[in-house]
Amino acid sequence: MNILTKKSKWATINIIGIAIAFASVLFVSAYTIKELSFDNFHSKADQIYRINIDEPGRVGFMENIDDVNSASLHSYYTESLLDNFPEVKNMTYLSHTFNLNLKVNEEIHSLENSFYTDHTFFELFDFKLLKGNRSTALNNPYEIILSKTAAIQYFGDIDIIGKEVKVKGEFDSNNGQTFTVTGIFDEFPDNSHMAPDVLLSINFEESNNSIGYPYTYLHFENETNPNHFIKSLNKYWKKNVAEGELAPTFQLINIRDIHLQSHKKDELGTNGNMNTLWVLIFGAVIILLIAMINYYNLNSVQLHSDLNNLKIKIINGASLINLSSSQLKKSALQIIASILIGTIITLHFDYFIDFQISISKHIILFLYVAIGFIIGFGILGLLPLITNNITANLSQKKEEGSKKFVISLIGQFVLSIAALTLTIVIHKQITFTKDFHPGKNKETIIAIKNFPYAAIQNFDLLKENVLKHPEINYFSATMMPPGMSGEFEYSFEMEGIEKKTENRITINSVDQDFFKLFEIQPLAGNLNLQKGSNFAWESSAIIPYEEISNKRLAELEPIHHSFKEQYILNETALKKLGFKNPQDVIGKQFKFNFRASNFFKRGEIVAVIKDLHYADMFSHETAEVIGLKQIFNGTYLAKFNPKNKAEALNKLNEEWNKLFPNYPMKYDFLNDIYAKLYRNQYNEMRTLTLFAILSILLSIMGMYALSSYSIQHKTKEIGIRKANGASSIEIMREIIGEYSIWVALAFVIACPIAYYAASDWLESFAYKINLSWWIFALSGVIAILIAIITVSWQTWNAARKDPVYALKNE
Amino acid sequence: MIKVENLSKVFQTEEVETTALNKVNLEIKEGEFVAIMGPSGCGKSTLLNILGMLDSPTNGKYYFCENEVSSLKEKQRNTFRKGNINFVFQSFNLIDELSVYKNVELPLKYLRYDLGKKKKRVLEMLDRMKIGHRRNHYPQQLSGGQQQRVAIARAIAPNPKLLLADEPTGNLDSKTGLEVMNLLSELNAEGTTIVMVTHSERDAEFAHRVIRLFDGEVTMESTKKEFAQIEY
Repeated sequence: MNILTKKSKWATINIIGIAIAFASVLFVSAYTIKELSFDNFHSKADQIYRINIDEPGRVGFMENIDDVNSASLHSYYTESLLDNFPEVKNMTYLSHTFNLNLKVNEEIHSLENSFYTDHTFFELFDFKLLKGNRSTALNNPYEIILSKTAAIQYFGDIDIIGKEVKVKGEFDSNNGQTFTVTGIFDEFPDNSHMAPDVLLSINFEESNNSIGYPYTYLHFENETNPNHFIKSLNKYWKKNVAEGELAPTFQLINIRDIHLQSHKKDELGTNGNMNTLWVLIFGAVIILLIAMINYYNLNSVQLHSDLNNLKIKIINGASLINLSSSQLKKSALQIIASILIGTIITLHFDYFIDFQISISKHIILFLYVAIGFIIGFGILGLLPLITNNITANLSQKKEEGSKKFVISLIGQFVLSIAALTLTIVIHKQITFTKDFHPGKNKETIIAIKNFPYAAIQNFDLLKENVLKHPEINYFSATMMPPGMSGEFEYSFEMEGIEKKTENRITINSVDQDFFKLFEIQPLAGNLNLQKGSNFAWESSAIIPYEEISNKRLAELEPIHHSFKEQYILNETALKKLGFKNPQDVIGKQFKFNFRASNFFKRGEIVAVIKDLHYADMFSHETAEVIGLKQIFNGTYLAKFNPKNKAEALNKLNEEWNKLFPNYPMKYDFLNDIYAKLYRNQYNEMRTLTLFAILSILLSIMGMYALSSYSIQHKTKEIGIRKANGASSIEIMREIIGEYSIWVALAFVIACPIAYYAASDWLESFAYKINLSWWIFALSGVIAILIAIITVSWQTWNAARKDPVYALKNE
Repeated sequence: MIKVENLSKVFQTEEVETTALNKVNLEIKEGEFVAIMGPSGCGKSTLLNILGMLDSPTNGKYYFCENEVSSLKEKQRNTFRKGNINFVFQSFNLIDELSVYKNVELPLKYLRYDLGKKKKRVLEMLDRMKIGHRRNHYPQQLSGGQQQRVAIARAIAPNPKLLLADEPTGNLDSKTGLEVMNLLSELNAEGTTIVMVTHSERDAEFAHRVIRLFDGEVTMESTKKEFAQIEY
């Protein structure tokens, strides 16, 4: 009975261990395969590259502004590529359509995920067209193709080829342009880095041959070396820039690498991350190794416990093959049971990472992993039998204690402690991100984005209406949505600083209540800002033709005579400008050299603030000069009274709908926006936490099994010690001390490994936590406590037994 | 030193009740060397274990140095035992993973001897048992006689008042057995009280007094002289 209980206890430990390892390996393999498969379904994937700017330049039309280092680039740089570089076989582009409305049967739909492109799109890419002809769709101007979902959403049908729709931009004064539906495409696969809803062909004559800042894809001739191409392109621009201009440098990224390796601000989708992938693989490998160690150890232990029976079998004629085949049968049963349980566990892993495994979709992978486990663990189960060579050495004695398992036990704890430490580091960094960004009670602040142009025009009215409700404490606006920094650097003039066009500083814009909403105090000066320029003035001032602009501004003068330009610097800008004391710049005159020279007037620097950390923490704070320009404020912010949050949101929605009934308010809470910024890191944290817990659980099971075997073998030793005067407490202390020393040794080995892994993980952050000693100490203490708890109960039971019983035990 | 009154020990399993000792009465004086004899299963070892406070009786009284100890809990028995009583077993009961030196050191460690005193005492004992040259060896590397000498060294290291020996020569050849018995006699001559369980008539002759047990009861007590005259 006792033997049966013991055997079933060990079998349970084996099954749980293998099941957890199976689940982890299957899940991580499926996830890794998906992440590595992005965009490789295009037959020309090897030869298709996206071109990006590497080092921003300043060419021709952009005298006072630098290029932006982003995934898209100005079409000026690519329009002559096909003519000048024969290795470029073909080229296509995708250009965001901003503020477009689609009118179908009198219903207006705002297009958000739509792009301008042309027929070359389907020449490069293999996306499937369900209706229409892929070689002629988008051949002519004013043609539109839609995804199946978009077609059903707007038309209720996909048989709509030849139908006409009106497309109108927010800024268009006319009634819009008629487009003809020429195709319906199937949804882009999950592993595509782009997934547009609507594609439209542009009229080049109307757009002056410019398509703005598109994402540009090049298809190279087969034998082209992309590095050579980039070198010649960079050389070409260096040669062809005029004096005083700065040639940009470019980089290429193969479309299959975009998902995991490209992290520009304006990527077409939420890209993955190599770090996440490594964290997952690291976790799964740790779990697999620990499960393998446990399985080998437990089989060795069982072999030693069963040695007498095996000897009897051998004496009665059993060969090694007979013994192996019965061991294999036992292993196969355990592994198959583990695979079944592991499969169920895998289906629940999506709780921790945003990826769902489905057996039907991953059946081949499932079979591979299952067969791998059956063979691998089957062999592992046989190893103790083969390596001990018991058929050749029948006189060998039972091995006492568990000394031979110490190394593997230490190995398990090294892996668990490393995983635990990394988990604590990630938790701490994620917690750090929460307080790093501006805004107390972020769950009471919302950011409204993607609103119509009318909302910018009517900001003052909206703000006035909204603030009538006492549930809404503040309503303000700024240029960029939370998580992003200003993109445009302009040259400037400042009192006491020599004027140089190569000195650039980032423009930002806020509404006068922005700093109050975020409860920000100035380092110098004051933030009781006067109202900035109004929309009517700004829309006249922004006209680049000075004559027209001056005339319009003169008309506005009687109602706008009190307006003064005010500028606020952040600390990084202060340093960049060469000042140490914030007080020194207060009152100094400043002016941006904007394209429209009236727009940013000469004005006073009224305050210096600490760096806001409004953008993500992957890059350092940019040097910013902040002005008050309503027309630039593309994000609205509202702070609610925490007690009436729901009511406040309702009131805001009501006010919004009164003014802009066709455009539902699109908003996110600040805490969610910042959490989304660190989506990959949250995923890493959740999965690594899971893997750390699982690896510790497996190590505990391994330690429990080994210590129970070891203590069983120590029973007699315990009796001897007691006969020689040891008390139960002293026995406990000795045995627990022995295990604690092993875990302490594991801790010493794990520390540098964990330190390296944690430093590497933190590398992607510009602002990061210190790797304090207590993080390592904490994981060490947790591991030792776990070891103590695991062995205590069994040790206590053994230590309390009457020495007579213990001494009789053989 | 030892006084036992109506001492009984009953082992109970689900099906069987076995009386190992039945109302045993005996007295052992300080400095005595007493042998306990009897057939297998007569309760010799059980009596020895109770005398050594490794086990507790079911009924009866046990006075050790005039303290009633039969009803003590395990922890209290351990306190009484520590330093006062030690054991020599038939199967030596050395700890395989500890060296000869460490085995002998064991009881001194639990008595919290300071380092210098402990080392001096261990080396003294090893020299006395003529095993000093083997102090860094492990038990498996020694002969049976050497192992028993280590066990005796360990047993006498804390200078116990009472030494309990359970078949100390049972696993040894006759020559080595004789050496061990001479050692025990020497120790007794130096003042250690010894109670020894044995099957061997020759070993029993070393004792001052022989107690015979049969089915858990004392059937005969004889002095050394009387014992020598008994014909078997």
